[in-house]
Amino acid sequence: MSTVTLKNIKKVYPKSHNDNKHNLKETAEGVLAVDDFNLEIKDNEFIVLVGPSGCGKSTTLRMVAGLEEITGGELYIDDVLMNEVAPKDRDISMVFQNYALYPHMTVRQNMEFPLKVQKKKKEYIDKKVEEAAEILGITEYLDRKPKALSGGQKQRVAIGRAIVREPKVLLMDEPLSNLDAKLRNQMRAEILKLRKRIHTTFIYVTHDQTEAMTLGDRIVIMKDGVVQQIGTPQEVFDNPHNLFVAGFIGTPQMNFYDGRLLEDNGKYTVEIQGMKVALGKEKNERLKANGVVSQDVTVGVRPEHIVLAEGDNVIRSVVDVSEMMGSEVHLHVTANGQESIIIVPTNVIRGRSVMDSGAEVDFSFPEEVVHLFSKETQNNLEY
Amino acid sequence: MKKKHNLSYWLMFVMMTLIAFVSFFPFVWMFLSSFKPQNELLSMPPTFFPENFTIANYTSVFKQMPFGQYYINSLVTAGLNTLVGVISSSLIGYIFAKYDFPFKNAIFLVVLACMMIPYETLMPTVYKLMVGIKWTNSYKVLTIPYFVNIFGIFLMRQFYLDLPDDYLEAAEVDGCSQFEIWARIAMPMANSTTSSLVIFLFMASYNSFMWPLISVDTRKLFTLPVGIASMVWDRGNQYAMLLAAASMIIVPVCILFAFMQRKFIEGMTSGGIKG
Ligand SMILES: Nc1ncnc2c1ncn2[C@@H]1O[C@H](COP(=O)(O)OP(=O)(O)OP(=O)(O)O)[C@@H](O)[C@H]1O
Ligand SMILES: [Mg+2]
Repeated sequence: MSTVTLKNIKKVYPKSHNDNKHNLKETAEGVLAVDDFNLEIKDNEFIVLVGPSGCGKSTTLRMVAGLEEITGGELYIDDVLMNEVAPKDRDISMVFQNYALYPHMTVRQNMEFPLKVQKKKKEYIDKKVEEAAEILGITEYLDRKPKALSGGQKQRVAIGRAIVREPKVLLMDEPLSNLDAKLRNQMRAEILKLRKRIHTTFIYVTHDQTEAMTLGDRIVIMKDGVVQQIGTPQEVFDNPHNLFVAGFIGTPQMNFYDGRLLEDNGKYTVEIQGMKVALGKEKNERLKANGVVSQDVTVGVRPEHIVLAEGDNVIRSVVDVSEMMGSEVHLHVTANGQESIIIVPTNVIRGRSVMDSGAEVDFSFPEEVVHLFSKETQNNLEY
Repeated sequence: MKKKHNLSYWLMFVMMTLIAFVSFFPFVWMFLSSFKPQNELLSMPPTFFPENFTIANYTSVFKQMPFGQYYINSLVTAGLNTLVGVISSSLIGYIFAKYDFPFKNAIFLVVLACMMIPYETLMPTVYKLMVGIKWTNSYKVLTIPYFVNIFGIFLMRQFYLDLPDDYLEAAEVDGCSQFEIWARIAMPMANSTTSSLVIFLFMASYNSFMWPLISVDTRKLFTLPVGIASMVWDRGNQYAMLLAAASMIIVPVCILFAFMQRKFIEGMTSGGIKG
């Protein structure tokens, strides 16, 4: 139960000569793995750091844990400066991607360990361990060694070890990525339940946007060491602040088209492959407030927001493949050389031939689902 | 379930049996002969099992020299040297593997270089040093030079290099001090490597001959190898008694092996880390 504040947090790793693959900025001192990270985490909040591999999520988490030195900026837990505080004195606990259960100890000993180190009373330790085991459903494995557990069970034990001490902050670094898809979904649900039962602040790292969207109160999207956007899952889904966030959040990915934004007397119209979409009041006001002028833009529309249409003001396309997903169909279409995905509910499709490859489909979309990104900065022109 | 064994299996089997026989036979011979009187031992043709069974050889070992004292000297020094040697190797190896400090690699290179120098070349210098600080003819000279073992450092470092940092970081987050991380997590996880080091260090100290021979010259401080050698010099032809002494010398080593073998298998734990 604590607040965590990251102020201009920065991490520079010393340059290693054999590693040139990253896209990170290099400074005189080394590679900039995390730059200018600002975030105020509220008490009891569940924060998810998400981004592609190498974007600095783990580095950020490890700086909060104290396992990595903070190059610049300030880290506060409950308004106490933590930069120079050792991990053991930060009152945090952490779940590692590969569990890191101590192999020479039984499950019970593993879970007791943090409390034993704190020299807590035996009755207290037993009570806490049994409670945690109960919550996680691992009571019957308490006397086994880790090697006799399945991946999912190990993960529970790792979580158990992290929650017995009732830490101020619970850190998790890709805790589910070693599990198979089914188990992952199940554990995700369990983490949600766990979250309701224990009162602590969570920071959770994942590269899986579905995990981020389902777990987080707020999610932090990172790329190349730089925070791209912070917001609730709904916010980042509805209002992605730049092209990267737009493409990263949501499956299937948002469709992007080259388009032209035209301004005429404070009224904006966007033109995509001959189709004209006049923007509504809200968008007009926001664009005007930002002083946006006529320009080439990247237009983003989510697959689920596209509708099959008829008439003149449409985009004409040809179906490449269609994937029947049950209640909906994903149509992969090509229009003027640009590919897009359209999600159509199965009942709309019934009795039509649009599912055959080679079929011609016309589509359009309402103005409120259009996202406009500057070609130059890749930022959303509305924000 | 029956498994078919091919020719190479049987060849291997025969080879192994031969090797086991060749290495084990002298010990059997030694043990059986230690119960023969001297004249039977030297008789032609030789007997395999003792025909005139006697334990006189054993009793005279204790009568004719302070064998019990040698035994205690050997066990105490070897035990202490092993204990301290294992701890120091483990700690120093851990530091070389897991910590960064200035000139780490250079220092390690120097340490390694010391391992390359033959022990015999170092001995005169170390001896002069011991004379200089007046440690000769004391338990100090039989123990302290054994407290740091470079091979041990190297062996433990190698183990800790392969030990994933995650365990140590987990322990750190769980509240351990730097020393506790080593003592409660790293050291126990090195169990199987440590067991082999225990055997190695015990043997190295228990069997060492040259060093105790030159650095100690009072009988009270003799270790078993020196004691036995002195027996050869004093009573060179008492072979039966020698065999009795030799049979008793190998007992602690056998016990240690028997005990540590179990530990080896226990130590082969893994599976806490997925990867
Ligand atoms: N010890 C280190 N020394 C030098 N560079 C490092 C070190 N650790 C990480 N980096 C670099 O810092 C960047 C961020 O790494 P980090 O581990 O935080 O990424 P991540 O977002 O957790 O990625 P992943 O999803 O693959 O775990 C990477 O480019 C990585 O190469
Ligand atoms: Mg990572």
